[in-house]
This record gives sequence, C-alpha cells and structure tokens, in this order.
Amino acid sequence: MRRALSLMVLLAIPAALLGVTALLNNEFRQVRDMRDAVDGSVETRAALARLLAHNLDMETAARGYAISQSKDFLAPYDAAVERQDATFAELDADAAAEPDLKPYITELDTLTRVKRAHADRVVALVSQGDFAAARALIANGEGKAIMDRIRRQVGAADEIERAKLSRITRSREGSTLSVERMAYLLLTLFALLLAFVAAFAGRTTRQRQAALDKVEALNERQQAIFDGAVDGMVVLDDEGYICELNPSITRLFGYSDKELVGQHNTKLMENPPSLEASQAWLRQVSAAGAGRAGHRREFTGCRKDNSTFPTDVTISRFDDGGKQFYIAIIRDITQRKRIEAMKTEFVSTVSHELRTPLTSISGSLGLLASGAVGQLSDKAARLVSIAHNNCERLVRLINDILDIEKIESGNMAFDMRRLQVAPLVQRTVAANRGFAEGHRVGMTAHMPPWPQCLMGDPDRLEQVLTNLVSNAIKHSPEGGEVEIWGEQRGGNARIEVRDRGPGIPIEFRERIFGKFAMADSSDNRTRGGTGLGLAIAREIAERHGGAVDFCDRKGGGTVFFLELPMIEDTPIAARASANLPLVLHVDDDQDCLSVVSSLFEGKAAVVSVASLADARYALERKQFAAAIVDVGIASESGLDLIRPLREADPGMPIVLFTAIEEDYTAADVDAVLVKSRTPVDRLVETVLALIAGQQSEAT
Amino acid sequence: MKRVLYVDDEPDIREIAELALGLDPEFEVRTAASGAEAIKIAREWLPEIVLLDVMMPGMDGPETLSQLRGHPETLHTPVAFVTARAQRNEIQNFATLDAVGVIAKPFDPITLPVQVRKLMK
Repeated sequence: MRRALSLMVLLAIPAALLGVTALLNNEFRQVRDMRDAVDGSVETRAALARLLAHNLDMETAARGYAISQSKDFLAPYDAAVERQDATFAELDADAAAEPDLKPYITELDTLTRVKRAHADRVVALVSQGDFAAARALIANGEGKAIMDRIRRQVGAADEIERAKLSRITRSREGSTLSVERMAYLLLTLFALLLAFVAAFAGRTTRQRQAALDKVEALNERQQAIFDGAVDGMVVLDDEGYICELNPSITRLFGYSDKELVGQHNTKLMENPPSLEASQAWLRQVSAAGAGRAGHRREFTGCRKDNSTFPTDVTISRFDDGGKQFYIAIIRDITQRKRIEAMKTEFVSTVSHELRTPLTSISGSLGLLASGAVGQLSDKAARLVSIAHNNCERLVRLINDILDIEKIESGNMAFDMRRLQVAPLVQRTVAANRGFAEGHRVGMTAHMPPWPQCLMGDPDRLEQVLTNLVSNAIKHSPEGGEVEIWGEQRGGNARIEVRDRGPGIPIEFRERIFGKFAMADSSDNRTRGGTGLGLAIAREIAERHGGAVDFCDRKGGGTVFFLELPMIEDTPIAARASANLPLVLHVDDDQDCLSVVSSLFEGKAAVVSVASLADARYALERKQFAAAIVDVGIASESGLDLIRPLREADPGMPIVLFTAIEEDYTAADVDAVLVKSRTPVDRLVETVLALIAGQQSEAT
Repeated sequence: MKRVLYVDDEPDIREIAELALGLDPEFEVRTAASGAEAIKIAREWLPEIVLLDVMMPGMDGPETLSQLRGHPETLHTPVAFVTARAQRNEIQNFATLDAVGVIAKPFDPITLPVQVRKLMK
C-alpha cells in the first residue's frame, strides 16, 4: 500500500513537470502566432496609409502641375504611380488572409484607378496647354469626391484591422490568464509532491534510524546475555570450530579466548568423539532447522588442567549472512548430579530403613492374624486384620514411591526378555484370585488361541496388569465379574480388563494417570490404593513401546487396556512354520475362533483374527490357502472382506461361516455354512476339500 | 526333617522368619545374624537351603553366596535371596545366577514355608 503510494508520487513528479513544459510550450507558440498576427495587421494598416498617401501625392502633384505648369511637380506623381502596384500586391495578400478586408480592397483598387484616370486627364490637359480645361476639371470637385471616397474606404478597412487586432489581443489575454492559472496549479501540485516526498524520505530515514537503534540495543542485550550468562556459551561454525566464547567458558574450562578460538569444540570433551561423529551430530541439529529448540546432550567436560566435570550441552543453529552457525550452551551439572545421587541414595536408604521394621510388623501381624500362634478374640482379630491391611498398604506405597522415583530419574532397569502374553495373564489372574474373592468378585480370562510373543520385563508387565486387574476388582460391585480379554490389533497385543463398576467420573479422566490421583479423597481409604499405580503402569507400558488407556464399556463400567508391540506376527509365523495349508479365520467370537482353531489342529494352520482390520493385516503378510469368514463381525460385515481376498488370490476358496441365515447367492464365495445348523466337523471337511480341489486344479 | 538356614542382620525379622518357617512341621530352622556366621553354621550343619538377606552390614548376601561356593561342604547348597522387589534387579547384576530364587520382602509369614518348599524342589 505504502509502496504503491510512493510509486505514484514518484511518477506524479515528472508528470507534473511534463505538464508544465507542454503548457508553457503551447503558450510560447500562441504568443508567437499572435505577434505574427499583430505584425500582419500593423503592416496592412501601414499599407492602407501608404495607399492614401499615394493618392494624396497624386492629387497634390496633379494640382501643383496644373497651377505651375512646371514638370517638377510631377515627380511625386510618378513615384506614387510607381509604388501603387506594389502596395496593392501587398494589400491583396493581406486581403487573402482576412476575407473581411477583401471588398474594401477591391473597392479601393477601383477607386484608385478612377482617381488615377482623373489625375492622368488633368496632367494630359496641362501638357496640351489647355489650362482652363485642366483647372475646370480640378474645380468640378470630382477629384475631391473620389479622394473622399478613398479616405472613407481606407478608414473602414483600417477600422476592420484595428478591431481584429484588439480581438486578438483580448483573446490572448484570456488564454494567457488560463495558462497562468494552470501553470500555477501545476507548480503548486509539484511543490506539494516535493513536500510529500521530502516528508516521506524524512520519515523513512527516521524509521531506519530507529530500527538501527533497536538493532544496536538488541545487539547490546544479546551481548550482555552472552557475556553475563552463568552457562558457558560457544559459537561454532558449520564444522564445529569455535568462533566465539563467553567469559563463563573461561571460568568453567580454564582456557582463555585465544586458546580456544579456532579450535574444534571436541577439545572441551573428556572422551572426544571422532570429528565425523561430532559433525554428524551438528548436521542432525542443522536438519531440525534454524531457531528450533536446542538439542540436549550430556557430555563429560575436560578442563585445561585435565580435570573433568559433567555437563549438559544444548545446541541450536542460527544463520548469519547466509552461513550456518551453532550456539552451544554448556551447563556445569556437577551439583545436579550430586543432588540426584544424594536423592537416589536417600530414597534407597529410607525405603530400606522403612521396609525393615515393616517386615517385622507385617510378619508379626500376619502370624497373629493367621491364628498360628493362638486363637484371637473376634475383636482382637478384627484389630489385627486392620493393622495388617494397613501395613501391607504402607509396603505398597513405599514400593510405588520407589518405582516412581526410579522412573523419573530414568533409573528403572528393565529385564527385557522374550515372553508370551497368555502365561503373563494367567499368572496375574492367579495372583489376584484371592484379592478378587475377598471382594466377592469373579474373574475370567479369554485369551486368543495363538501365542503372542513380545519383548518385555515379565515382573514389570505383571505389575501393570495387576494394577489394572486390582483396580477393576476394587471398583466392581459385589458379585460382579472382571473380564480379561486378549486380542490383537495390527501388530500389537492388546489386553483388556473390563469391569462393571461405576465408571470414571468425567472430571477425573484428565488426571487419572497423574501421581496420587484418586477419584475422590475418601476413595483411597475404602479401596486401599496408593494413587500411583496408573502413573507407574502407563510409564512401564510406554517404556515397552506400548500404551495403557481406558474407555467406557458398553452397558456400564470401564475397559482399561494395555497394548504392547509384538516382536513378530506370532500367529502367522508360528503357524506357518508347520508344513500345513494356512487358513485365515475371521470371527469376532473368541470361543468360535478357539474351537475352529483346535479342530484344524494337525490338518491346517489357522490364523485367527477378530476384526477385518486384522484380517487385512494378515492378508498383506501371508498367502493363505483358504479363508473362513463370519458375516457379522462387531459392527462390520465380513462380506466386505471378500473383495480384498479375491484381489489377493482369485482362486482362494472362501467359506462363509456365519450365524446369520440369509441368501448369500450374490456373494462370491465357495461355500456357505450356517453355524447352528452345521456341525463344526463339516466346516473342517469342506475347507480341506476345497483346498485339495484348488491344489489339484493348480497342478 | 528339612534343615533351613535363615540369614538376616535384623533380630526381629529373624525371629518372625523362624516362627513362620516353623509352621511347617517338617522344617528344622536355624538363623544366623551375619554372612560370616552363616558360613560357619552352613559348613557344620549342612542346611538343605539357605535364605540370604541381600543387604547386610559387612558381608552382604551376594558376597556370602560367593564365599559359600568357595567351601566344598556348601558348593551345591541351594541358596535363595530375600529382598525387596525394588532391589531384585540389582542382585541380578551380580554373579548370583546360581541362586535358586528370590523371596520378596516383606514376606507373608503364612505362605513363606510354601515358597521355601517350592524352591527346594
């Protein structure tokens, strides 16, 4: 906008100048024309006067000759006659330019001829000596009358010329006035524009100055930050050589400016990586782009005197003049490390010191409560049981606090090993059986019939599952049931723990995975939790590359689930190893999957999946000899799977095995078996026969 | 009778452990207050299992185990550690792979004999 405006102003200035020039040029030309016209008019009037003078000369000469009879008097006469033609030629030219003048000139021409004829007659009579006749001719007044007429004609013509002159002058005056106005207007505009330009230029200069001042102030501030920071800062070029350093570097490392500038930054490290490795790291920072949050890393710094100290280095990239630079901020973390070590030591000591008396208390109370050392009265037994429960809670709390501390300090070690999900779930169920019975809650586990393999710490994963299961038990109504469902989602093993409890209050959902999170403050007392369990569970799951989350359960209650990545497509891989045809079975009923899978044992390898997504996942990874498809799979339709199956292998036998009795003639399948009407053995026979038929066809 | 040696520097815990293990009528229980005492008793008494506390002043559990292995009498004696869950990872780092198992502390006195019997199998 401003740019357009200044452009317009800049264009307007020469335009105004051009306008003024054109105007003045025009004016000068008009003045020249007028002068020509005036000159012409003046000359015409002079010619008229001369004509009158000639005629007068002629008249006077004729009369003088008549009176004196001296030939001397005829000299002006001859001169007048001689010039008359030239004067007429001039007047004719003028008359051509001025049509108004023409009749007068013509008349004057005639009159002059008459006058000349008259004068000639007088001169002729005098020459013949007939003076009386000459005098009479003069006296009859004819000459005077002609002369008067000539005078009148000249006067009229002169009047026309005079009027013309004054008309030209007047019109010129008017036009000069308008030109003057226009010129002033344009000049004013020009002056305004110049003033505008001057103001604009002034303002730009001021802004530029202000910007420069600001930059300078900023620079000073940056420099003050750079110099005054407690952390060491070094500016590195794009290859990691030190360009600049702040005083804190000298304080931290003991090197002076001179000793470091130009050196590679690895000089400051105890175990410097290779130049390539260091530069590769810089490039990694560089790839994140300029001005991004710094990359952090811990290094052991090495001082000039070869002593070492732990540092935390943050590195960011910036561009200056088209070149890349890095700024590395080096923090001495000796104190932090020491405090961390103290904290770990403290927590470890405290927990041990707390646990030792707790072991005694808990053991004593346990022995008392069991009646192993003598029967207690009902009241005493009740009190002992309260003390015992709370003692156990205290132990759990200490364990959880220790876990949290370990997770947060990054010290939690995981004993990762290959393990299977089903035994893990079974162990968890067995371990919590007593707890569930105490709450009068039932527990059932439904695991997929194929093994699911993953890498994980069995104790920690059992801890996660125990947490989910015990939460579900605690929040289930008396007589309720906690269901544990194992299934597969893509490449993940998923374990769901479903309860019919009151659900999770909306306002609590946000912070359910936070520390010491409990739905309400009275809750922990009735339920006996520590409020740390879910925070720990989520953390452990995430360390395994998995997740813990929850959703509402249809019909009331909550589903908590743990998802963990499997190390391979275990069902597919495990099954494929046997030298049997591979059959895909899609059904959302776990019991049906189990039954079918077991019936095919030794005859075909069945990959059982519970959703269309999993079926597609399996389909992408393996070639199947046949497919058994259920129609109603949760909210999806198994019929949608027919097309991808056909696309994967047009000749693959597809068997619909469904409870929904409908007309499937339109479906492109090889057999339809209705669940309740067909013995499952028939399914096995049908599928195997189809596979055999397909194979013989192929060979 | 099955001879069980329980080693812990805490006298209260020793007493409770002795009581708890004594619930199994087939167990004959002795206790030791330190690693050194444990080695001495073990070499003479030849227990069928030694339950070793991990954190003890002076000679700790893993150290006691390695010394036990240095004597022919106790070269093959089954040893189980008694430790808090949080320290389980720590003892796995030591050369203690020949321990038959780990008993979590605080232990449940009622099920302690059952656990020990399992470990002795």
